[in-house]
Amino acid sequence: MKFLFPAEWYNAAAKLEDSSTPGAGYLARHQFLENLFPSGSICEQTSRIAFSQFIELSRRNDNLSIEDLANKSHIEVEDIVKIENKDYSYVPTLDTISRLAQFWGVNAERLAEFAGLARVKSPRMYAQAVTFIATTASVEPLSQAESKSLQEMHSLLTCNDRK
Amino acid sequence: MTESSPVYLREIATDSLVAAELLTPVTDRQILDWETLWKPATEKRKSLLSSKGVPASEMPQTGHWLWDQKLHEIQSLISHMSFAVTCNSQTQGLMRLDLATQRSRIESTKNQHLVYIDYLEVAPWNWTDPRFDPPKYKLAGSLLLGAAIQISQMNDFKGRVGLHSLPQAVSWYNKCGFTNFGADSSYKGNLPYMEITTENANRFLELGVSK
Repeated sequence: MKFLFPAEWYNAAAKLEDSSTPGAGYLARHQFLENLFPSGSICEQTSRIAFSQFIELSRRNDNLSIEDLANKSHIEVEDIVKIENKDYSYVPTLDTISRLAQFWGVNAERLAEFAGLARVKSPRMYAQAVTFIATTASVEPLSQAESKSLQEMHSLLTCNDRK
Repeated sequence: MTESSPVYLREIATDSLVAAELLTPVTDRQILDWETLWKPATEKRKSLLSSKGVPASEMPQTGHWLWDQKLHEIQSLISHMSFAVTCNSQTQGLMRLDLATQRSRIESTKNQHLVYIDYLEVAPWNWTDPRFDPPKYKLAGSLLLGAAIQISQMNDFKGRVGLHSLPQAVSWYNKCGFTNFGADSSYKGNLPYMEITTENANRFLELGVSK
């Protein structure tokens, strides 16, 4: 990738710059917002959780198995498994996001932000992600197997015996 | 792997063009320059102004972005690119581009893809500020903008570039041919959103070239 500027361009561009200092981005006094939503923060993790939950709930809402969804949206089964199981070391490709967005008729850019491909820029989206996670958490009674597993975990956590 | 293009900067002291490099992506070397050269130089200027009682509203408008984080954020993203201009073994300007999430706001090309300049900054010794010494080099910002336009062309976005301008740079972007959409309430600080059309982007890249 090579960038070319004609020889005559330099003097003309220098005249344009003249008394200006080029710059783009937000002002120093808005740095506090950056501190509120830094990369890799709870904000980013929250958006990824919301993304995983959105995919899983949308699939179940359509009565689709993971394999069904993979077939219909032309995505690898493994990709959906990693998304739904909140494997944060896995970053979906733009193509995967685009196919999922198309399948459910949602905005691909917004979905990409939630998936961690682009930064969530809006505090409103972050707040919405938190609400989504909180309100979609299951309130179904536990199955016998889940109840048994939970009791075992509870016992482990309340036991003082470190062996 | 970082790619380098030979370019020139205007050295103010000698009023001549000096050899420089346009690099993409930014490397650890440029981050080190930001950490060890840009930050102390910025702090020195801000401290000097503070000691003179200059109010916050008149402090430099750049010098606060954490470039190490800004570049780390986009490390594994194919949707973003980073650029640096180096000269005399020092980083003279830095830029981060977003190729995916923003769209044109100009009526005739509304919602079409463009390259969005997330951040563009020149080294503190290249700032034009009458309260300090004259800038060392000019053109780092112009070269970075030119690179953004060329990336837009390479991606079939036809040279369209958008950005939120710092107040200090609005008049420069106007002169470069950008359309000013005014203060953008959806953006931090209500900075003006500005965008350049295909035609004006071509004109910018052909500055000084007689037809």
